[in-house]
Amino acid sequence: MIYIFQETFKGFFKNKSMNLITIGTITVAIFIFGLFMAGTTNLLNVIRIAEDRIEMVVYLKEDISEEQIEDLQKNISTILGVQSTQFVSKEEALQQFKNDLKEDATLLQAFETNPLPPSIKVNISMSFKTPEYLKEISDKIKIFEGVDDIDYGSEWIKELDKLVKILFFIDIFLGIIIIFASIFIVFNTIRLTVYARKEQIDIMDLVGAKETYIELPYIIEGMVYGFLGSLISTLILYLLVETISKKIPNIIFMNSNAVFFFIFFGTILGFIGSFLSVKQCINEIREMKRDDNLKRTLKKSF
Amino acid sequence: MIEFRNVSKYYKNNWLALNKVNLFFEKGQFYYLIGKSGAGKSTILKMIYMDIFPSEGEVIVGNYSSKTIKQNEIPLLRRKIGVIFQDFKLLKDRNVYDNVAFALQVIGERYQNIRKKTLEALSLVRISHKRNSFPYQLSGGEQQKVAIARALVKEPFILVADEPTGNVDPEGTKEIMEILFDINTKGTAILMATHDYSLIKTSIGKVVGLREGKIVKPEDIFKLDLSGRKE
Ligand SMILES: Nc1ncnc2c1ncn2[C@@H]1O[C@H](COP(=O)(O)OP(=O)(O)OP(=O)(O)O)[C@@H](O)[C@H]1O
Ligand SMILES: [Mg+2]
Repeated sequence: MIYIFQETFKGFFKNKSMNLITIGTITVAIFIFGLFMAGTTNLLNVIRIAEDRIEMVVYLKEDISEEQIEDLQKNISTILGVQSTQFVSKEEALQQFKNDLKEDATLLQAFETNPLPPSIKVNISMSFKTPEYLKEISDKIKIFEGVDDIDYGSEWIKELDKLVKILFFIDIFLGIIIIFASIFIVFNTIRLTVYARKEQIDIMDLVGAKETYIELPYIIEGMVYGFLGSLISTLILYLLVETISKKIPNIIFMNSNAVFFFIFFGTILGFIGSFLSVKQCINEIREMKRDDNLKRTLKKSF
Repeated sequence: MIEFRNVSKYYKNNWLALNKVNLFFEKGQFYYLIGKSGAGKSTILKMIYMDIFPSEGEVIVGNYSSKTIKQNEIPLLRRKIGVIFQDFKLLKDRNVYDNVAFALQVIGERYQNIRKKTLEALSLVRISHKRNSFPYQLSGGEQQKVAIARALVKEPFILVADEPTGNVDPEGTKEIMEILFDINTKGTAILMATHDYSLIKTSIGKVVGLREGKIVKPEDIFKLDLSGRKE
């Protein structure tokens, strides 16, 4: 066991320039993946903000009674997807309107009576903020007594929904490309470091080292590469997002779960990359020596 | 101890490298395997440490057979066999001591034993004074001694040597041969492949001749005069 860590340590410090290049390459590959993750996070955030604004306003007939309003609120509340309701009286609506207009309030002097209808504000659960659900909910409310009109920005929501779908498609497409590209780069970089020590692997095999013993130092080293690469790129990414967010305030960094996942992903990538490389390297050495038609695959016993 | 039963070997291009070879190597003996280049010497040696396998026939080494050995038993077999090569196969990035200790480290030898065994092996091949040198600072003969120390440190029952003096000057060759005889006297069998027939004339040991993949009488290989030579 001591040997394995010694060997990992040696491998790590012996070839400083090569190791730095390896870590650098892995950092860049994982950084690009991180940029994508941060981009996706921000995209989701923007969509969430936009969807947060979606609300449904039910305009009521002028002559509605208080009991009717109470009944209506109860009925609306039972509809699937409705979180809460809030009654807004004519007076409150006017007050709200005045507040919104502020200095242009003089405009209102033009009206002698209050032209705004009473309404009920309906808060919709996040997952029901799709054009289909909103229409369904609105259709259910429409048939209730005392309802005049319903507004939930249906045109605007359809556009948003379309945009979100397109953006998601592009994002997933990009994501797949980037994930494969970074896996490819990390694998190949680690492969180079393993193959640079082919001779050593050959000798270990000849003096009777068990396969796991041959592999472990390389695997640990690969994991360290993956870990360091993802750690460094997380830091760079964090600094980058911090700088940008000074100019564009709504930009956010990945949440801590994503950071954890991200570094875990990097380490696993290092693990798989080095594991496959060293296995492939050992097999290649053996195949090359055998160089015969014998497809003699030795039984593995565990 | 080591037995070849009707062993044939075809390489990829259907080249017949060994043709129905039957051999038996006993414990503690000194064997030469002689033959021209391409005769199949290395092929025989590789089969002993199971780097390659017979196309036909069977090789038996101790309790293991080429027919039944499992992949994870090969390391265990190799711990009982020392191997040295013409090109030494030392690790260039570590010194003499570390090169020898390496063989013990990778088989999981206990930490306390590594130092003792390594120093013993180095002194056995008379290279202790250079234990901090790196391979590039050593002559061919010295490098081969390090390789022998590395092969011996695991206390194998046989040392398999593939042209061990091929890259060594006459002076070094003499020393290497002396070391090999030393080791043999202490009980380790030696199997040495060579085409340097002059080595055989002057020394003890059994000679196995190989020509075009077939076992032949040593005298037939070359106009080799082995008269007056004792086995
Ligand atoms: N991996 C291989 N693929 C194809 N042919 C091979 C391979 N290894 C050896 N051979 C052929 O098998 C024959 C025996 O090779 P081997 O290496 O055993 O000879 P050798 O007696 O050790 O020769 P040398 O004295 O040159 O080392 C040769 O003709 C060689 O060309
Ligand atoms: Mg050879």
